[in-house]
Amino acid sequence: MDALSHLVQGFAVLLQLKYFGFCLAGVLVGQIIGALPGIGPSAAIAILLPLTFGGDATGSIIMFAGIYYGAQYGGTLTSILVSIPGESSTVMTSLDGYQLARKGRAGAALGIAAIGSFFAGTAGTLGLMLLAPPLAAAALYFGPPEYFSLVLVGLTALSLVGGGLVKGLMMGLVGLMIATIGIDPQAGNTRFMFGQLWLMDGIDFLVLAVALFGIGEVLASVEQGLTPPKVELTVRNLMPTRIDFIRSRFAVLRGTVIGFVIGVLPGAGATIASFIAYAVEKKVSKHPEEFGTGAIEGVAGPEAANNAAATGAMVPMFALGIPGSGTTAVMLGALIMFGLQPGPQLFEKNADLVWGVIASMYVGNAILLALNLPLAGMFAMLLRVRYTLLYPVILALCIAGVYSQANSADDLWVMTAFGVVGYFMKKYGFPVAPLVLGLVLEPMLETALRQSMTLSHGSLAIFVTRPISAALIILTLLIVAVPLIARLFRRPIEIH
Amino acid sequence: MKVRGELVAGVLCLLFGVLWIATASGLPYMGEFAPGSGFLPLWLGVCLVALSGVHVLSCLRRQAPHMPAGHWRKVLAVAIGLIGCVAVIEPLGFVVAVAAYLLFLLRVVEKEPWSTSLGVTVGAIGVLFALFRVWLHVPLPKGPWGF
Repeated sequence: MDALSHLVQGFAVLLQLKYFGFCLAGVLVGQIIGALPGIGPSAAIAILLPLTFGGDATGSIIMFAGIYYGAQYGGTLTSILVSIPGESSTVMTSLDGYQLARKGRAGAALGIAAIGSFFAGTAGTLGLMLLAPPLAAAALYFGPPEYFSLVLVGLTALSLVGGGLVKGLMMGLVGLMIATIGIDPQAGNTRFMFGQLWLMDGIDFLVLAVALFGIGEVLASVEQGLTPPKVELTVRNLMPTRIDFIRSRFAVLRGTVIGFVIGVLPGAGATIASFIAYAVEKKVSKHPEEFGTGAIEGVAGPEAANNAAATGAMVPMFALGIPGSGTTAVMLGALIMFGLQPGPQLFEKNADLVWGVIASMYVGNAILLALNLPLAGMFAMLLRVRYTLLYPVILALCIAGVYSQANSADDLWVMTAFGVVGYFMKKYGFPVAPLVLGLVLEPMLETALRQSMTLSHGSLAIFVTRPISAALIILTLLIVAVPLIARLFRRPIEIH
Repeated sequence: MKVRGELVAGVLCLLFGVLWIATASGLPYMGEFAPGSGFLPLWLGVCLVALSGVHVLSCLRRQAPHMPAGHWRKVLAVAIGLIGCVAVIEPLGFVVAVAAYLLFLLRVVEKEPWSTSLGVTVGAIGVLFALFRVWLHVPLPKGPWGF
């Protein structure tokens, strides 16, 4: 009942026209950038950060969440209509979605994807609502050693996503190290300034996020030379048939559960969820031979899974302050930027924000369903936007945004330099998300380390003698060890 | 090609780690009980050096896969243009510097027709100016001409 009364409070927040506007803007932007080439939700949120700087924290987070799950709807369009997944989490959708589109059933595929996504998004929000508060309440009993170990788990888990564990861990460490530049807030002295006075305040999260996600992405996409796909397929009859519904209903249910559970686990996001959902559907299907040639369950399962995962990833972010995906890492940085302390106290100290965001997710998913069913054809026209016209505008927005946050050209130089670094990271497969997460979590990690060792009179044993901390350390070791052991027994994985 | 790039990246990370270890060694390691300013950075440096070492070794053991050549000249043009734009943004002002950069990207790099280049530039600058200056009251850099 407690959750219900809080939810009512959340809806009361959302009833204010301003916050409803933020929600609408978020899902619209998400839908659009999901369909546009070469820009994903992390980049969009990073680029929009400066616009919200110093503004309304609740509204901004409502908008960012909207961008995140809205992009999952938008990405579906490209994978079904042109077989070019806008997001890695919609790769599986394109296998059967595009085949359905070629058979003239693009409308039905898009319709099932939208309805499945709506169901999964709504059920996922329900899960978030029920799971996050008790998790946060349990985490209130965490002391500094538990927090230290928790940050280790979060960083290690996120390192698994993308270019491989070693590269991910390297980037996480680089992020942590960059965060030590400037004044040490506890000791009061400066470090790693190398005689440069402008480094006194350290490297700003906002500048780094815009540089790596914005500039770096643009440079990498320019190199690939993104050409607009030919959209020859027309979208009509968006309502799926009765048979489509019957074939998809359990796929949506299974996808939702798989997606949510995987989303909650740190490090395993929407992409892995959609892969597993597809594999499960193929396994349980009575007609596995249809998969890859246009099976509607192959669209329904992964689409439900990626939406439920996007929502599930918000559970650890809100309850523990440990994000489960790259996009939630940027959102966590935004929370800190607004002067809020992420973690279990967020539910107590900023109840309006958390429950406002949760309420907005119910409304946002409904808006997306209403937008997608009648307007999918119109959004499909976005696929014709040429990247050559888009990226100069993105660059101009990055420049204005970064300058505006401190009115300083120094920040623009930092942005340019890290933009180039971000390009090389993309090119050589070094993931960006762990670096950004390291930068965001370093103050928490170092404070927890110092407090723990003060408690233990300088002994590191405190991290393994306290049971929860020890369990988290073991989990960290498992995250590192399991892929290494799996590599020893590796066999090629069959997707089709 | 890719392995060579990854190798260089690994060596750079290794050097970054060495730099952190060297600098952190000059900072207090332990206070009374709690770690000093040098404790965490030192161990972060050590971990980075170790992981970079593993990465470099695995690069040396792998065969270089063929990488299709991308539009690297374009990347260079976009990056150099960005450096130029940042260099002149305070003396010339946001509007002139960024408009010139956009025109350069659209007309010179992407070879768009003049009409498209001008249209996108004017539209983007107009929207950004309205958004940041008029709506958010952010003082974007002004040139000698007052905008």
